[in-house]
Amino acid sequence: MTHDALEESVPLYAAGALDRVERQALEAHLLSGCASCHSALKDYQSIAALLPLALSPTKPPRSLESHNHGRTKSLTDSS
Amino acid sequence: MDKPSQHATSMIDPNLLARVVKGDQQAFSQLYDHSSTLLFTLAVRILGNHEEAAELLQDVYLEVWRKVSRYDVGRGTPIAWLVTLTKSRAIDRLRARASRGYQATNSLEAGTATQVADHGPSPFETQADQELRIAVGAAVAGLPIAQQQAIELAYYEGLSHTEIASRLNQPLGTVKTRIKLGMSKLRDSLQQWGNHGELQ
Repeated sequence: MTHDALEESVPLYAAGALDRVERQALEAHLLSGCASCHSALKDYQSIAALLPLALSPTKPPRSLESHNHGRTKSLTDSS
Repeated sequence: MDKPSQHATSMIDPNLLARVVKGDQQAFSQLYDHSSTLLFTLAVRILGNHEEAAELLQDVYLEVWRKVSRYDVGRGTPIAWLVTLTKSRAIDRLRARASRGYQATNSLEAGTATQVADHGPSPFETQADQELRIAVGAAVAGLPIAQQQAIELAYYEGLSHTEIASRLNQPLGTVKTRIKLGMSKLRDSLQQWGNHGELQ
C-alpha cells in the first residue's frame, strides 16, 4: 500500500472499520515510525474515544465497585 | 459523596494512572469513580445487556490494574486508553457471542443509530462533562444519517467496512467515504475537546 492509501485509512482504523489485513498493514507502517500517520491517528483516536459521551449515561451497579475493590486488594495483598 | 469536580471523566489526570502503577488503591478507586459510568455506558451499548456489561467491566478494571504500566501518555489521554480497551474487549465478546449464534439485542434497526444523549443535566456529571457531552452529541447529531450509521456500525458493532457495505447493500467505496468524511467532520468539530486531556 502507498503512504497516501495508508494515511487515508487512519480515520477508518480509529472508527474500527478496517479489516484485519488492512489493520495490520497500518500498524506495521506506524511501527516503522511514520510521524504524520502517528499524529493523525492520535488525533482521530482521541476523537473516537469521545463518541460514547453522546450516549445516554448508564450508571454501573454498585456491586461492581466493591467487587473491583475486593479483587485488586486481594491481588495486592497476595503479591 | 465526593465533590463533583473529582469525577470529571473528561479530565482524568495521567498522574492518577501513575499512582495506580505504584499499587495505590485509593488512586484506583478514584479512577473507577472518574470512568466507570462512561465505560459501563459504552459496554451496555455494545453488548446490549447490563449483566454482561458489568461482567466485562470487572475484567476491564482488573486488566487496568494489572497492565496500567503499559499506558503511554504520548499515545493519548487516559480516558482514550480506557475507552479503547473497553471497546476492544466488548467487541471481542460480541464476536465470540456471534460465533456461537447468539442474536445481539442492540441492532441498528432498534434505533440505536440515533441513540444520542438527551442534552439535559445529569446528577452524576460535572459541568465539564456536561459541556463535553453536549458538544459530542451535537457533533454526532450534525452528521448526515448515512455517515452516522456507518461510523456506529463500525464503532459499536465492530463491523469492518466490507461487512458494513454488505449489511447496508452499498458499494464499499461509498461506505469508506462515509466513514472518512464523518470522522473528519467529528475531528473538526471536537478537536479542542479531543486534546483537552493533554492541555491540563
